[in-house]
Amino acid sequence: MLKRRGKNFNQIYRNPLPVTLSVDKYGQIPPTSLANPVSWISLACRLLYIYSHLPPREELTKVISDEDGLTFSVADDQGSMRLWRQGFFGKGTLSRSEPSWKARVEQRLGLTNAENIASEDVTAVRRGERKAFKGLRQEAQKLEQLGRLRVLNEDEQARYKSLVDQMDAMRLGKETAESESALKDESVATDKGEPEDIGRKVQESLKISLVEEDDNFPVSELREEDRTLIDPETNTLRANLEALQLQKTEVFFLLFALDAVKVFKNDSSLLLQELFYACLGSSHSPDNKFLLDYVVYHHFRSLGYCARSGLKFGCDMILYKRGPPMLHAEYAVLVVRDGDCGWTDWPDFMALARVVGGVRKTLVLVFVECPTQEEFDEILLSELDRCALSRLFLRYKVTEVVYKRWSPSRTRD
Amino acid sequence: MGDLIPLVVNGGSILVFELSHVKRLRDLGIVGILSGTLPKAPQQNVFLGLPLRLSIYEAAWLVNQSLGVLVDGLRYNEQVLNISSLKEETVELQGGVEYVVTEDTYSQVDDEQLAKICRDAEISVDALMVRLFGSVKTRQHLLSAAFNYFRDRDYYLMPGLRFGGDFVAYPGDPLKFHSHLILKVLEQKESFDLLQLVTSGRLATAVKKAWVLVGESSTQRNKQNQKPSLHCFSIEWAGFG
Repeated sequence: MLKRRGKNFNQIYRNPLPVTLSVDKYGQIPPTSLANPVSWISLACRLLYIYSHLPPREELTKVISDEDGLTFSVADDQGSMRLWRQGFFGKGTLSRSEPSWKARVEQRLGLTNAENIASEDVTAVRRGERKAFKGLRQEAQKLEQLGRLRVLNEDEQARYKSLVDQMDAMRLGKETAESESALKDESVATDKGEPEDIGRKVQESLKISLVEEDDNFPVSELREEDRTLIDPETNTLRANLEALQLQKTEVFFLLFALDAVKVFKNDSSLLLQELFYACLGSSHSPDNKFLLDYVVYHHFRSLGYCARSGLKFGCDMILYKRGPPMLHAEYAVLVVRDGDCGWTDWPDFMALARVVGGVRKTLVLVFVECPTQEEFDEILLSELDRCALSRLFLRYKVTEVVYKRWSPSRTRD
Repeated sequence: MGDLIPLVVNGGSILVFELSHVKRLRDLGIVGILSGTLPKAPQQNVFLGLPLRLSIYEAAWLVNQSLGVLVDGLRYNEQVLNISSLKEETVELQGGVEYVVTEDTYSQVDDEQLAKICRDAEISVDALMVRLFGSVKTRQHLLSAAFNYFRDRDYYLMPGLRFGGDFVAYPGDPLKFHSHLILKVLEQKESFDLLQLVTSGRLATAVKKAWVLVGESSTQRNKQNQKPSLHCFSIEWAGFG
């Protein structure tokens, strides 16, 4: 399912993971042709240069763990931007997903001329439209009811007609916008319609709110909390109040699999082993929820999916083919320990399947087979470096099963 | 006693075979599930006919209200057969399909005889619960209490599996109304996954219902036989435009 077009996604979200490639750092290998020995030399020089240097690495992003070691966040803008744009890790604490608080506030207070449209604004505009439509519909229904009781007078009839026309116009606008966009979007919390169209609407609504602000609230009459935010000398925001919040599985993946972050707790850096124990919590058993989740997370990340928390759909994970801005999540994943179905008794399962079906996703049950407690203890007793952890995770096996509702009366021919 | 509706227990199901009884049950606000197939189209499962199958909670409510009586199917049917004469007749319809037609045995039994049979074959709700669930479990009692609680407030209840609950509650006859509530019954101290909260709240809001958690109030139950007093909470998913 395609979301919005027209943005330069390929440029912004170039890297699917926060890993720097040699190509990024040293550029493409020079063109060579067999017939031209001079080009061989330049190629050899370049290769020699690349292999004689250490692989390129960006500076490690600093992740801060709180006192109890349960939540992780990235405070600096550059780090959050990096983790968001390269792999869509984490979630802005004051935003729906992408950390866009700063951009939104700057836009709201008129501190910037840049025209950036946050997904939250798009949603707000759409909700406003829907509310207006519902208002019209309610009034029309009232008139309809009245019409059944007695004959409407001329004013009422005219009003009813104009209401119906307005509603038709709104419906028509929506339909054309939908048919124009290549693939329709049906999910609940996402954007509908043509991008330029939505963008224009959002711009208009923002402009209106700015105009209103100019009329009624000059800058001196900003809200108290807004005034404290603005630095009067430079007319910019004093600080970004938002941090990027990461899940346990994400932090562990970034450290264990990619080595792209450094985790700090009370200003001292955590070793991989310490982070592992912090994530594991008090229960040291092979079917620890963190381990099951991580195994599945790593599995899907290594298959190239972008896996994010499935909390809003009541499952463990949702899988995006590329990432939230480009495509809607296609799969909802429920992690099940093999041999034990946990909370999933039938009514709960039916409810989940309905919710997932309602947002046009496919429910995938992932069964995780765990190693025995002895194997687990043995590995934990040895020195827990990256190798030992790899050995541990290799003992887990995952099987995916796709769940689909099958209705016999619809399937019969 | 003649007015009591015989609820025939066959194996694990409670069945009502008599159309007049089904109509009476409907007026009493007991919906049940029609579960017989139609003789001419036995494979379809969209339109079902008699018998009507009742859940144990519906039956328990009827017995509690002295409206019905649970009878053991085997003994009940034997005695009905003893009184009435069974005449069989084979009828051939077109296409070479043969049906055996028997006379309605029930109509040959008068009220007095029926009442006597019911007395003879009666089984108690508790006995049936034990037969169905092994030992008597608190969960079944709680579900029964929840059923009574909502039926006494004039809700019609149907099984709630398709909405992920224990019951769905209708403000009137389900043929006339959409359901308003999805009921989920929780035992005391029963743990509850927060993902479930999201799932159920979301689902209920998407189908325009309220999701209701029903639980036993911990303070007010002191005696074994006293009715548990129930507390209900409804949960709604906010922020859907």
